[in-house]
Amino acid sequence: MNSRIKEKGERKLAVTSYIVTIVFIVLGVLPLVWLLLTSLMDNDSIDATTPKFIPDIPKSISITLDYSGQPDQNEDFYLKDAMKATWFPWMANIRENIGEIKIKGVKDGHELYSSKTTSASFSVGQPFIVPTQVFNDTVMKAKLPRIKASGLSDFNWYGQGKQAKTGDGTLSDKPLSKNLQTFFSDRKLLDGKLTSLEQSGNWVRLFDSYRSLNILASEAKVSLGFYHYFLNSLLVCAVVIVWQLVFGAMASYALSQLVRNKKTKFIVLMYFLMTIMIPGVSVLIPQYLLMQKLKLVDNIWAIILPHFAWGFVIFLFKGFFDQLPKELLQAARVDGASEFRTFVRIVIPMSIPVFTIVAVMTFIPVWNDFLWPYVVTKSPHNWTFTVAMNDLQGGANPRANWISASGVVSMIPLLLVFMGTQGAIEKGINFTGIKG
Amino acid sequence: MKKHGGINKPASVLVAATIVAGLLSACGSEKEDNAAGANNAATQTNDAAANANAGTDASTNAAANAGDNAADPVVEITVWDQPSPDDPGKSFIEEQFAKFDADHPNIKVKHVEAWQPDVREKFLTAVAGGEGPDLSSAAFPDMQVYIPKGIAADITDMVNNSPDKDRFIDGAFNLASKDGKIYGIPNDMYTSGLIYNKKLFANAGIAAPPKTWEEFAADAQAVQAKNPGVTGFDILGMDWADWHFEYYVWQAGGDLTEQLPDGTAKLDFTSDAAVKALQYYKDLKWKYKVTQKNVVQDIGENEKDFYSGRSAMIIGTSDSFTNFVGRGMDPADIGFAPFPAGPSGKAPAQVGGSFSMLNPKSSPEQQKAAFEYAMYFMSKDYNDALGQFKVDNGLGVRPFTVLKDFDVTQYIKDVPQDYLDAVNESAKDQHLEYFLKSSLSSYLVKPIQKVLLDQNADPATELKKAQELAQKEVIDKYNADLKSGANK
Amino acid sequence: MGNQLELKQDTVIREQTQTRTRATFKIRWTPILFLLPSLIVFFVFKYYLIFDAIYISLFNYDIVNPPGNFVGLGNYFEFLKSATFWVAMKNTLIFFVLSVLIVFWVPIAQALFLSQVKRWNAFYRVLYQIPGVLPVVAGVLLWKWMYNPDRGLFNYLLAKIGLGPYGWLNDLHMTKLAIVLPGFFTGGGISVLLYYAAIKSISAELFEAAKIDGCGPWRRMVIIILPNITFVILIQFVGFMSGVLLSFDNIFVMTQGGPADASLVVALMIQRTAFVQSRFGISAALSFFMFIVIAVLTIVQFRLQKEDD
Repeated sequence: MNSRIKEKGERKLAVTSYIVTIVFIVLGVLPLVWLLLTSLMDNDSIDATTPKFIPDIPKSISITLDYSGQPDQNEDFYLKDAMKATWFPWMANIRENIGEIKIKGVKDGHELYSSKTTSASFSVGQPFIVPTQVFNDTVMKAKLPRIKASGLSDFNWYGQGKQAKTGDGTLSDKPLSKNLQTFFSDRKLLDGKLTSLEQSGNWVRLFDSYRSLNILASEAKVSLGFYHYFLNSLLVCAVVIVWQLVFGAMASYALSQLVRNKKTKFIVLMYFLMTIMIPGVSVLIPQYLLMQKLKLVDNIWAIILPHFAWGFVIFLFKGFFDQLPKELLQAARVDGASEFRTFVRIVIPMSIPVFTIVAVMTFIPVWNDFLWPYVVTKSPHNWTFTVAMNDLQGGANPRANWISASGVVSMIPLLLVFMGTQGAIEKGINFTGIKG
Repeated sequence: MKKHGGINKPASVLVAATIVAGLLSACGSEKEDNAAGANNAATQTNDAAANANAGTDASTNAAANAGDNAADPVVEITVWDQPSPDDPGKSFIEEQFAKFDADHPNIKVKHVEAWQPDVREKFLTAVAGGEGPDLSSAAFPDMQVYIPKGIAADITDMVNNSPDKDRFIDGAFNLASKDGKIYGIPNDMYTSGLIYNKKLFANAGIAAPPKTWEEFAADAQAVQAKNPGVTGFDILGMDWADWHFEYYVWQAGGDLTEQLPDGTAKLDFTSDAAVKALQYYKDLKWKYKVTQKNVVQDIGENEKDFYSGRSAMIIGTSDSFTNFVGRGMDPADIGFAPFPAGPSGKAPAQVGGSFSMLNPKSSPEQQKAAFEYAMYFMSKDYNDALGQFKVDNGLGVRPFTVLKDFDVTQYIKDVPQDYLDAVNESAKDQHLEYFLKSSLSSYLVKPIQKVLLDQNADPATELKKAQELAQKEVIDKYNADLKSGANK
Repeated sequence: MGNQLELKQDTVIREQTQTRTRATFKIRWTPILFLLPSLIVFFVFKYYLIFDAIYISLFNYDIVNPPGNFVGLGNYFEFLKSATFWVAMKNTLIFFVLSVLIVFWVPIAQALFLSQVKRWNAFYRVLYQIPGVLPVVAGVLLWKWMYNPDRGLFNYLLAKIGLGPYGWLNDLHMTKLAIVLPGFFTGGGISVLLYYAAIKSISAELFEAAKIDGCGPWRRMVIIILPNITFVILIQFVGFMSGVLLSFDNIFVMTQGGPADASLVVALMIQRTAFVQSRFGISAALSFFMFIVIAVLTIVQFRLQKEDD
């Protein structure tokens, strides 16, 4: 199409093409932008009657508690007071977009402690730290070990070591701050005296739903947090891809080049391809029964093995191997090379593009697979990330922004795969059976 | 190549959660707040015939079991009761696990995580594979399915020989009994009612919750008018729609199904009461316009609307209080009321709950151990300790118990008295869910959704269609099986 | 698995020794050894399972005491007689038509126009891949939020341009459309690349010849490009067809087959009969039926295509 003579319709076509392309891309990307935005919003904004597009900056609350004139107490006493000043009012104002609460404890001109709790920690801890609105000293006492063990609130104890101003008496009169002050004065829960309460915005806390994912997972299930599930998924993908690249390729090569009998060839090809038409839902129970016989239930191999049989891979490879120059292979054979050697030394080096495309095409569905891993795994240790994502939204504590955040995170590996392999994919497509 | 083949289906984040929703077309789930409908004790008698074989097997097992002795080597049992990591009672439960282990050196308990919201599919698959747990729990409607399927073991002798039997309230075992045999140990119970937002009501100048259908519609309209953006009543139109709808049929003076004296089932979808109830549903949506627009949202979303103040009324259970407070609702705003009475002048509440059940495939020793384990968690000591723990930790306590000797009221500290009074009032007239619900649910959901979505749909016609289909696909078969079973 | 790996190593070693020592047999053995691992896994994880499903379909299957009563083809007759099945068949067909009308042509159009775009072409190709990387169900959930008639994004935006409000999933006539529509937005993903590569491989002489014949650029698109990529379209169509006929996840998450069975398709019915109604026998019969339907359709299409050649 590299003509020098400008035609009449050409410009019009070019302009239309750009417009159409851009429109399609915008249509495709807009829902994702919405996904990204909701992952940064608080849950009430996501559900707002009039949709909001710009996430609100989470509010940061800084509280100073003054213990001047009171007898000295041990660290735990102050920890409890700080936690009471953090978790209780936050629970009472759970619909507010609070990003963090920082408490500073001062006594006679010294800073005793500082504590900080982020919304990531709060939303993870809320179901077990403040599951209801019973706010009293006993309850917090009972919760302290759990807060400490899970490290949900940062608490730094300075003892008498740090000079500090007592609160400067600033009590913010923003609505949320007013609510908090009323909460403190009505409930009389604290030992320290509220000397300042400041409110500002902290945009860093916009990303707390992402941090929640990690805290949530590491809370008690597995050591690496959400990454553990990603690693599991990657492991599954890697093993399946290796299998397909080795045995899928070998089988297809044999089918394409080594089986001479036309009838056998057709039968074997159909043997592989017919399986594409088996509905996944329908073999769920037999597959589970099989895994039980193999003693693989709740084992990562139970997720991996069924992926080994995928007719589409054979189809892709065969399309490519069918186009290999016969002369080349013949020449190798004449030279006395074994079929295996021919395959390894001659065929494989020529097949890198198709290997890439098979790898990517295998990666996508395996990465997204959900129903089967869900059914066959029991312990979080063996979960893939799709199962973990499901747990997120189905659990006792579903939050829209967590779901969005996990959606965004789950896109990253595939996106990287695409960016890294686009060139090879495009090259590969030219050789595979799909193109014809 | 987005849609290549059907094998490695791009999978889903949420499939599972929803799978469970439909799993047994019943409403119960492991979550307390979602625990749902009860079944009809009498119904179970009938499911029997079709699955007579399974039943017999189970009873043989149990019989062998009763004569067993405790002086055995260590028995290992698997129990699906490991609490979720964010369970507020985790530390307590684990402490109790350890205590049980210490007290029972000859019983080794393997706790399996079973807190996922959609654990039922896993349960069924495990049962199918012969790997069902030795002890698990099931909501009332699930029991109705599990008993005839032979999934729950016959524990009649164990229960009858147990000194604890009389500690349960009268009739507690009825819902897990069939043909005089017992299949489950009662766990807990709840009752249903109308939950309303007192603040939104006050804004509209309404002091008391509605007592009749007319008042209900008028109140909903008034609340909507005075609270912009608020929905009067969140109706349940998703796949459990029949669960709440049956209440309206009761209020209209009928039921959806009945069991004839010979044990056969008869559908009453086209009865006057059912038609009136569906007409009322239709009116709420189209005439009074007091429901949410998204009538196909599930119960979780309805609850969310309620606790975030977007809807003024919702149907809930006695346990809802804790749930809503836990989601940040002001305890003072949550009101409970018996259902508004319909044309019949009555408004029965529904009773629901769950049972522990044993696995008929377990060895007699395992069944015995599992029974002992289950009873440990129904002991007075355990329940008192749990009540105290909940009080100390600011957790909600359910206002009902299945035990006579456990006084739950001493642990209810934070639920307003008027809420408790209303719950007790509501519990005075209790009903079990309609007969054969588990098989008929999907047939009823259809006409309900139809009138909620199509202004021109006629309730009587839609119900007639549903009845004809259900008659052909379920009832004829059921009755025939029953008769052939009886002839055997 | 362990066994298969060993088998594979075994295979390689044997194969190597054989080729060295008994070169005459190599043609007979190599293909078999090459094929063997795949033949085995396909047998175990596909054929064995589908045979098991067929076996189950012949019983009034009892999961606790399998297999239950033998009913022969009874399960097949039962679902064929059920009105629900025919509703599901009809819906499946409507979904299929809708998907072809709304989704199938999208990557073809995208590739056609993309082939005319010269600047930043590679960049656009990457952008086209992005919507496809979101896990299907996360995407469906997102759309469900946007469809919400009480506070969804769509009605809000459409109201700004004077449209709506629409019921989307709350409108019996729109449910199917609402389920298919996201596919239009998501576009073709890798299919775009496929069509694009096919278009690019059409020889330049063809275009030049058409040009000399006086064909304008728009006409060339129709008479040169389309006929030259029909094979790719066909292959894509076969995959697309079985994908749509078996689609489960997106419908399931969006509506679970409702409201009032408006989106109940056969794949959902398979799941529902098994896990909701515990009628595993019927469910298995339905699965096998769907397998046959799709197999027949696929074979017919390939036959037609062969005749075309």
